[in-house]
Amino acid sequence: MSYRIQLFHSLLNNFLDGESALVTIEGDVLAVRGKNPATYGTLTTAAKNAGTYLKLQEGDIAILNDPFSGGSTLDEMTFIMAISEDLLWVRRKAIAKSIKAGKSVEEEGVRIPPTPLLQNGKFNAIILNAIQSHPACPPHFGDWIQAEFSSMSAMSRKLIETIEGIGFEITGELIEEYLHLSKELAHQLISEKASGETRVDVILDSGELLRLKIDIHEGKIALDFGGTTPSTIINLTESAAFGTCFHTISQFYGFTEYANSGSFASLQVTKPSGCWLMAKYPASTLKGMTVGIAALQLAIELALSHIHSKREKAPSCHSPLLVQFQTEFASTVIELKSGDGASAHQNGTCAQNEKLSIENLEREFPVKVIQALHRSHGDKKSKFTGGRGLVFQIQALKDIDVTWLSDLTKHKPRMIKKYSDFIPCEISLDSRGEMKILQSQGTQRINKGEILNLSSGSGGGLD
Amino acid sequence: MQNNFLLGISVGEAFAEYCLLEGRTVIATKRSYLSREGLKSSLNQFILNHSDKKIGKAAVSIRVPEKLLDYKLNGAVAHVTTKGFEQWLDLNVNPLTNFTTDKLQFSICERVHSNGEIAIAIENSELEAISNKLKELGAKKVCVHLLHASINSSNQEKVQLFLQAQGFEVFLPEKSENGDEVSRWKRNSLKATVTSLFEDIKKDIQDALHDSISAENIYYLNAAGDFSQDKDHNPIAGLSASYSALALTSTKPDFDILYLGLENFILISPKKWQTHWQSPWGSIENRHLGFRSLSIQPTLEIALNAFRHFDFSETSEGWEPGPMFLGRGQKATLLDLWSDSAKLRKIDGLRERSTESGIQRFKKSLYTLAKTSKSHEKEIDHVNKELQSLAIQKIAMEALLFRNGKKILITGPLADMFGNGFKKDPHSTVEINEFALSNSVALLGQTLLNPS
Repeated sequence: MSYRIQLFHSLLNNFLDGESALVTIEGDVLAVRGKNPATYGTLTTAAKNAGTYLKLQEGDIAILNDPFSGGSTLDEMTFIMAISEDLLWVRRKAIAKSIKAGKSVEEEGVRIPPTPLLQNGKFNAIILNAIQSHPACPPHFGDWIQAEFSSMSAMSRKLIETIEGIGFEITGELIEEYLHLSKELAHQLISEKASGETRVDVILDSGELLRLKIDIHEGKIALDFGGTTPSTIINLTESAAFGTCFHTISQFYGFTEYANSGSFASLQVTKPSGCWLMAKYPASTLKGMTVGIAALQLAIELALSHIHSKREKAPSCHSPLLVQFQTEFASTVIELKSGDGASAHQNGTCAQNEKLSIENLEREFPVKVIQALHRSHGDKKSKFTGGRGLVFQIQALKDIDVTWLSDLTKHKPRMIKKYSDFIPCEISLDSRGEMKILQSQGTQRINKGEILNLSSGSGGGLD
Repeated sequence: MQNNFLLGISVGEAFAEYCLLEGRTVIATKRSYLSREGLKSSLNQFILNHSDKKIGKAAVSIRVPEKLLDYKLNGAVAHVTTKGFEQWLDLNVNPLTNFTTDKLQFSICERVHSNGEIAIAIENSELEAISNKLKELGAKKVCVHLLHASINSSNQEKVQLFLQAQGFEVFLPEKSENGDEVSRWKRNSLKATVTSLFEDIKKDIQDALHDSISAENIYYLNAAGDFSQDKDHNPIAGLSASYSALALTSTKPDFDILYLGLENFILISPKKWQTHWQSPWGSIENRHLGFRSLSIQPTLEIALNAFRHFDFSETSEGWEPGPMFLGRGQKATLLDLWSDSAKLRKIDGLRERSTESGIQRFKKSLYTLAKTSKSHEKEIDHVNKELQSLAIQKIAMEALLFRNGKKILITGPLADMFGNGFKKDPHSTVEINEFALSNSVALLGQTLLNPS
């Protein structure tokens, strides 16, 4: 029995946390882990770029946040560390969340291409100082980077000591076998379910069309985005688009835990050049990385539901509602997640709050939270109801600046009759009794006494 | 002359350990398998066996099983919350792990601002209405969760006094520096939910000891390493108390501790205090020494993984009914792989409980799995050996990867069986101590309760 495969898989599961990946220098992806769909394409692109252009030696660490080099949004930093001469560890962490959508990526923050900062045990202070001198660089950036480097170096040493400590040899043959088994697994899980093809169109409020033709045949899935239009304001990088496709598909079939080069081979993605899924520098990518990804997830899930009538799922509202409060002294971003669509046998999962504390928010900002609850059911007729979104009512106790980004898929795609529509995110302002629905994105000063009503999306229901 | 005998008790989910110390020397130990021998009777018997010793004090650690923190198993508790936020705790957990039922959630019109100013005071009429409804529903316990009560508790006190006067048991979030109401309220909710169960366990202990040790000489340990008496003790604070005791009494304070117990495999970092417990209900305020529950546990089911190879599942089967080799279990577990081992069968609590029919059923279940697996190895003895190696390697791998320092001390009733996974690591030491938990609770008790 090859228990070495089980041990290897367990090692990967234990070592990788958050948004992270392990990639060989030759480009084999051993494992990817994360909650953000884009991770499954962007981290591997980051590793490939760093590996190709920077020639990292054991112990060296490079950083990047450039979306066009394998980053995501500019408020998240990607670290690439050479654990050994042939293994790269890629990890992504948020610095300080912010919502800065501009006309180009340069307006969204400080953009860092693949940059080696730790080489031969020496920290490159000159480059770090140059980054810190950028006006958009977050405060305490240098300290934060050094703390992350220290943590990664320690963990990397532990990984090597662990492998030596248990006498486990990770050979080329072991890796090959693991990837082969993962590829077979993906193939088998896809083959066990229905085959077929279908087409879905999703239109974004900003005018972009996402056209997806999906073909499931003999254990492989082809996603053809031919007919998808160029960008108006939404741009998504190729690596993020691939990652989203893989994550959504693998979640449906149940092989996300085996995300690697082997299972990646089950997917073939084709996009027309110039479409909004192939963003090029200097396009702005913040909206693509949030709303664009949500639209892509929606399209794929609808397509899969069309083909798999026994495993259908009503559309989820994947788009979160992001709201940034800003005063002279402090800034915070609240992310309100949305609810899931109902599935064939159960209600959709309601959205949950993850990090917000009402007492802390009221202490740090001049606001008062009036209420926090689950959104009411929009569709009471369905047999299985969609997961409810979150509702927050927040009153300004002093003037405060607010920036927000919400759903841009209010146009409902064509649905099968037994689905009810998901309810998109909504933000409105109550100003002295006068209610005004705000646009999907914007920045505004909220005056003292005005009340902001924040509602994240609810999933669709199923009869 | 100060009484030098101290009884250490560590109550887990399935086993209880007792350790009698004279000074710092172990005089007697025992482990009880609680589904076969009740806590009260086995503890009482242990005391009777040493009735010639005058025991001054008892130091107790009680680990309430996590699954019993669920209100569905313990009975729901009413929640009274600031109006507008009655769903706030539900919004912060998975719907399968809510803290109470919808019917027992009440809002009260009150508000305190973040600066402590009372914006809306409590009206008695509203309290009366809530109280009447609670009585109608048969509720006896009430959690009171009001925003910013930690800054200005006037409204909270009014609610507390009114409801207590009506005969309800009222639970308030503990005062702390923690500014996050979610983790404080969650802790309070769990405490209220599990109080009755905890009281039952304490009563069993007090009844078992009442001829030897009075209730005021029984001290309960919390995860911060402090002892308190009955009424002050929070059962949530006691959840990892015995692990803290292990670390605080370790003879090798620079070592991380890998505890290999019958119920859990835990890696404890003695130098790493943490303020929150990452629970199935999210982050909950609870000061404790950092510990990690390994992904491999003693009663994980043996199953085929996604590749159809032998592996261990992610679900612990627990000890009720327990591993197959004890005769009642229905699923093959990790410990069953050692069912032929004399070392396992001589562990106190398991002695003479192993059954031949249980062992044979286990081997048959392995054989059935082997037929459907894609493993080349089908010979059961080899499969057994390979799975043993895999289990030991997984334990060693995780412990080495997540140790805080350089060195690890491996201890517990299963240390002897699994310790050889660390033989290649020069910084690991195996210390055989079958009663490590109760021993350390007793030692900590001697240090803090009988300082000389």
